[in-house]
Amino acid sequence: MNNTPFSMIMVLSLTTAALRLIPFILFKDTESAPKWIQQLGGKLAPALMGMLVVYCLKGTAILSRPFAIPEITSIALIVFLQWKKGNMLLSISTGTLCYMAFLHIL
Amino acid sequence: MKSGQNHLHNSRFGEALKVAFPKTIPVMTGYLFLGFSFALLLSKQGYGLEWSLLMSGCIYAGSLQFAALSWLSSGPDFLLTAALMAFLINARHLMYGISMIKPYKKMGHLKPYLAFALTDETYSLVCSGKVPEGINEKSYYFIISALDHLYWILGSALGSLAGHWLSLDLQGIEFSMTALFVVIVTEQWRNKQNRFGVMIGIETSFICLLLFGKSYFLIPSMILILFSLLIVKNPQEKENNA
Repeated sequence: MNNTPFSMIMVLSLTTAALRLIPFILFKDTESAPKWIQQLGGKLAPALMGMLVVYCLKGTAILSRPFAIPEITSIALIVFLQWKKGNMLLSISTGTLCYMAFLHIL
Repeated sequence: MKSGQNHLHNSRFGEALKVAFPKTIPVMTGYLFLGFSFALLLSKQGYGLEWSLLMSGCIYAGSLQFAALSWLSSGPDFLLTAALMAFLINARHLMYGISMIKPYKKMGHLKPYLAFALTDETYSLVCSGKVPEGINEKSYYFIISALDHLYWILGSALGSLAGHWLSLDLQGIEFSMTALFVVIVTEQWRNKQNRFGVMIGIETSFICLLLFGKSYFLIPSMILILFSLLIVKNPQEKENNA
């Protein structure tokens, strides 16, 4: 039997838990923690989220029909809604429905 | 005597609950919705309720769980990439932990759980380090952390059941994952300091995607992103320092 999903979940759980527990084990107070650790943690988040957007779109075909039109339109809609309204639930559900509608039509 | 102490303990817990619960309501809506979406996608891949409970209970990290959806069936040679991804995606938790060392100092046997449950949203509720007057600190922090965790698990359970019982035409629902990351990036963009990092992330991974192909671009992307962030100076930061 393939037990990779279970191993995968354990690896992800342990890595995440370690990151959350380590500061409390290693450092006596906030001041004694090295500055660069704190800065790197803050800098990585935006870059990794940018990478995950690319990761999600990695299978999109740009050069054949429908030329990524569903993706581009839906993403534009999500960015617009989020920027104007700042309501995550609204942006995600509207954007996803927009994409699903495209798949139905095309 | 003993029952008197219990009564005292219960009423303090009750008071803390009364103060803490309303604060968690915004997280409740967000976690129920995202947990639901996550588990719906998971169940579409053929993983049932037990898997969604295991993931949401043990990993308890939204972005990572969404990203991991496509890794579950990818074979053991992907475990190392996954660990590296988990480390980089969640490295920001080091920062949260470091800033909570003092407020969580006297939490005793609750401390490991409070540290484990320190997600972005929970952190945003406890990061002030201030507990309302007359409220027991331990109860307050525990209630906030445990409620948020429960919302996430509950949302995941509901999503898993919905995916299993509703036979809707859900073609394209997987786009909700893309939508989530687009929303996060849009929010990051509001803060000018983050724009440099977002651009590094998008550009680096896009170039790596073209160079290495979609099966192998994650590791080179992560290494290059790490290097770029360490070496190249954020122009926005320079401006602020000057």
